[in-house]
Amino acid sequence: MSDDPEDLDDAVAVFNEVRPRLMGIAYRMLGSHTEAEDLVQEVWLRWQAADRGAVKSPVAYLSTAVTRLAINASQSARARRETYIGPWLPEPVDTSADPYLGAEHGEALSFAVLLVLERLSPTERAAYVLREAFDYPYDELAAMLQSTEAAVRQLVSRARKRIRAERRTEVSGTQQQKLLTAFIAAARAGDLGALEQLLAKDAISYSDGGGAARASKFPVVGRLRVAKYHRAFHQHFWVGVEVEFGMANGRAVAMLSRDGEVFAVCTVTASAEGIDEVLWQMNPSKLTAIA
Amino acid sequence: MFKRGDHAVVHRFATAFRAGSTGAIRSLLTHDVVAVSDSGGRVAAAIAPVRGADQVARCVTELLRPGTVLSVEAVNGQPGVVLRTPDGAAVAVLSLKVAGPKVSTVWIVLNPDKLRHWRPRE
Repeated sequence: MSDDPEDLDDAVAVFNEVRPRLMGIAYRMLGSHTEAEDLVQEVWLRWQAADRGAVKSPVAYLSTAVTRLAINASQSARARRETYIGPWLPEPVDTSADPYLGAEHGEALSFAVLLVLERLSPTERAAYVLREAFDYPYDELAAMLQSTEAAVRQLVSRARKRIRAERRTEVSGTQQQKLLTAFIAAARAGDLGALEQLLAKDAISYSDGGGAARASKFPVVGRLRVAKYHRAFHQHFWVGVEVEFGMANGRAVAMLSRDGEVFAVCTVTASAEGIDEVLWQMNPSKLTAIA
Repeated sequence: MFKRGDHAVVHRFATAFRAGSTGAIRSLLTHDVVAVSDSGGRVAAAIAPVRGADQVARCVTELLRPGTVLSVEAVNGQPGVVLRTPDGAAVAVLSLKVAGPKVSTVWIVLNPDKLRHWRPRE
């Protein structure tokens, strides 16, 4: 710490440059412009008192500070919101008056997304905001959140999934059942065109093989790739397979059995755009409850 | 920044709203539309989400007072509707979720504490 006025001018200049970003992070974390301003003020006090000469990257230092404060603040904010009268909505921000919050960093700013973020854990929310809205690299995120790179990737991907699912309104149960039936028929026939027609543009296929059954270890992403993936294994896979439709976890599922034994369960989640997710459960230890 | 289509729906919504036409507003809402109002208990508002085109259209028109000035502005990076008193103070900020040609969710912020940042407009 130094009382040198020139050094303090420097500190002010650096801080002012990073300030809009700090506001952007804090606002997205808390959904409150007022609370975000308080946090940024708190970061300024810390920055003033810090041993700034030892700080290699002020941006990283300051955004880490605001993120950690925001994580703490959102924990107490959650408690306060339990006594809030009526529904809680974010404090709207005028993005024409505050271009940095809006224009080029518009991600994770809409009410729809902010409200989903509210339901994630504060750390998940921080990971998502820093990654999606501000493009922080994963190694830096790991340092900021005192976690490992792999764990942070996991946080971001979970948050993304929740947001994607939330953005779309799921179709009704009957509609889901119809899509599932059509999908199974198309997969069985290996009909690429029909598969493509049923899938949403950014459809994902997940398979849980539990390492025990043959299944793709990685999610398959994209309409055409998901369609091709299902066509690719259609021939051997479906030989001697009987399909029975039923309900599991409140949704329509297709149970595939061979020689009277269920070896796979398939279900889909869908919106107006078509099937968003194809879920294959092929892990024998997870199928015992159904068969 | 905005998707052109969404913008058009918001403008149509604002026009119907400005005219105070419950019927015209209703025609721009999906049948299962939801309106959520945040009043923080500070002003009168529905305490639970309002569902259905009829109810939401009514709940929206009830926000109009004599002299209310209504404009389409950038709310959280998307076109939204701001209501002001004749002397310019913001009394409600609406954010809309648009699904195709219609509005599927209306978020209405009425809590005065949350509107302090909205500058008066001429």
